[in-house]
Amino acid sequence: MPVYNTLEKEVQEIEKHKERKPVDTATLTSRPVAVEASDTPSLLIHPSARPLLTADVHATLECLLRLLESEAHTQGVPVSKIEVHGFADPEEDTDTVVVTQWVGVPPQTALAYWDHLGAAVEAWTEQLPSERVPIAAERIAIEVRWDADAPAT
Amino acid sequence: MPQPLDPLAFLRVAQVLAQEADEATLRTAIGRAYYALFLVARDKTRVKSTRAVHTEVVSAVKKRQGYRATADQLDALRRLRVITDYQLLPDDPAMRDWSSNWTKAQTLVNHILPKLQAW
Repeated sequence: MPVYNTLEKEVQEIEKHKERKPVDTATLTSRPVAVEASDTPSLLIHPSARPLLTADVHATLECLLRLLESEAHTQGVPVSKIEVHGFADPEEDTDTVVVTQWVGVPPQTALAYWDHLGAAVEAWTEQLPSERVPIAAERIAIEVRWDADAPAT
Repeated sequence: MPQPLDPLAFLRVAQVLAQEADEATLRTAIGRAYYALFLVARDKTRVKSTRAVHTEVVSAVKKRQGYRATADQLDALRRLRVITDYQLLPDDPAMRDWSSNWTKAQTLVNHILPKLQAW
């Protein structure tokens, strides 16, 4: 089973990537950074997510990403990409880390898989340390998007 | 005695609007579709708050056993509604096809509504 790099390793990879190439400061803050492994879906952490990735959120997210990978593998759902965005609600002054799995299945299959993920995430949340439960329950949102509207990669 | 409006009336309005394919009309249709579901969910969860009410409703749905996915799906529809109302050019290029956005909204509505009605 392919294993995702931890977010910490990905941040290190991002830093190495920045050192190798000239920095385009005009677009740096708006450009998502992709970290790819040869046999795993790419994981894109958008700049909008970074301010929200405190140590606790980061640790919880790492566990969640492993769970999502495991469930996709178990359910036989192909995942082309995972994106992590920060979503700021202009009306309610809330910030959420949104984890989006792009799947290569038809809409109804994607929704059935999303439903299955919901049950898995509920069970996972129940066994988290108490300080991480509010993070998993309130600070991180999970979205499944299907390839009918997948962007070109 | 006057009766409250059935929130699903907004869904019927959305479907009529979506027959027009221009961006502004599709944005409006998505917004009305979201509000139809939000109001059904608010009624089911009995959320009375008037502050951060959308967040409160999603949170209340999430708290019910077996409804984590429904809450996340409603939240995804809410984010789509925020994009329709606030981002005149969506930040995410993947969100700039409004026919596709409406199709996605419809798909989510059709999936979420039965679960809310079974609350």
